[in-house]
Amino acid sequence: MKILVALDVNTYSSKIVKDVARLAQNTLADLVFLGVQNGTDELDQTLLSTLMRYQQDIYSYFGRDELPYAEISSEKWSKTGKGDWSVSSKGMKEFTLRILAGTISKQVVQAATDMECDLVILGCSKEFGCEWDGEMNVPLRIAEDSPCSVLVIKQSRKSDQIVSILDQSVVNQDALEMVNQIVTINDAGLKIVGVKDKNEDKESEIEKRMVELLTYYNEREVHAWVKLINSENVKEYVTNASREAIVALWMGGKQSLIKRLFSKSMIDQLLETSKSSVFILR
Amino acid sequence: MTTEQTTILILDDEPIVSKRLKPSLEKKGYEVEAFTKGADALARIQEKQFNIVITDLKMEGVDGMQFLTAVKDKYPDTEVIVITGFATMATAKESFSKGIFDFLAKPFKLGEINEVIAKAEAKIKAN
Repeated sequence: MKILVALDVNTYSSKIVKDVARLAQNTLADLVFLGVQNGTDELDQTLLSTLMRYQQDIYSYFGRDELPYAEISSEKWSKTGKGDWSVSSKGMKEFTLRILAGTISKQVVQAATDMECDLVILGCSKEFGCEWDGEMNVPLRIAEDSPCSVLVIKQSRKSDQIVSILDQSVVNQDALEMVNQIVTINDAGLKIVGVKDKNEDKESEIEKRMVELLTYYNEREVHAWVKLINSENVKEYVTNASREAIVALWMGGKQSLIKRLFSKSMIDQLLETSKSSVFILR
Repeated sequence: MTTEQTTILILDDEPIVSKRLKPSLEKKGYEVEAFTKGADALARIQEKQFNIVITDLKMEGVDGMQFLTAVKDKYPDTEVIVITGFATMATAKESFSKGIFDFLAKPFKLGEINEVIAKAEAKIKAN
């Protein structure tokens, strides 16, 4: 698993380091810490030292002889392109620090695509909506445009429940595995909520899908609950669930009912309302 | 081991994993056998040593940890790569204490596992 963590110098970024460390400790993932700066001429030394500090923080969570990453020297930073600086170390797993110049959301999405990441993680402010460095739409754009799953951590806390909302579209294997990891790491209960179109027959595809998923989890001794709700109630349900649990939205294919129901403004609203984390699964 | 072609056994109860991995590895020149049932994989390792074993940990009706233990007990020089959708620090530690080569949390890209397999193969050839 390769995780890209978008970070800046603000408090919400420093607060997600602990969550990232927990994820890294459990999954032994390759990590990419990405910072984005405005100008292109000179490397932002404050951002550089902040990323180096976060990297050291991650290392400090690992016990002696348990660290899967090699040390990184600040002198090894190199310019690999216009407005593109990076340094990486290869131990058993790879750790990359990278700074790009440009627009934060575009650069995060581009880097996640180029580096073939499986998950993007970022924090956002909890006081006023879901802001990144004073901008409201950064987390939304990344959640919308990223090629892989995105975890937006609004408030760092261990959640007892993951509420996973799915519809009739195909359950992507990568998304299923990502939910499994988050459930395992949080030692959380899993509630699978199926969204049923009011026009569907009784024996709908979504019901079949939920039975399959329940069987899948039972076979692996993972306790999961299932619940079926009508499409007209989904927004209210998700908004309420997001107050306590991590909400995972399976943004399926073109036919995805959730994708249709959750317009950009709805994801934005969810990011604003949530008190913990929002997980966009792909 | 006498065969020149590197042999790989894959055990994962989710057919989609083998379906994705097997053809990709065969294309790279590996000789691959894939199993979805632990009992079948256990029976196969009694008959044949594989250079590399890739196994899931949490599977229906079989404990992947027991399987990898059986592999390492019988063939200490077989390199075992654990792939798991339910990764924990405890399972990673236990796996490494049994001498596995690497531990990959799902999901992963084919490139990632290919790289790990290449490293395991290089280690085998160096010994």
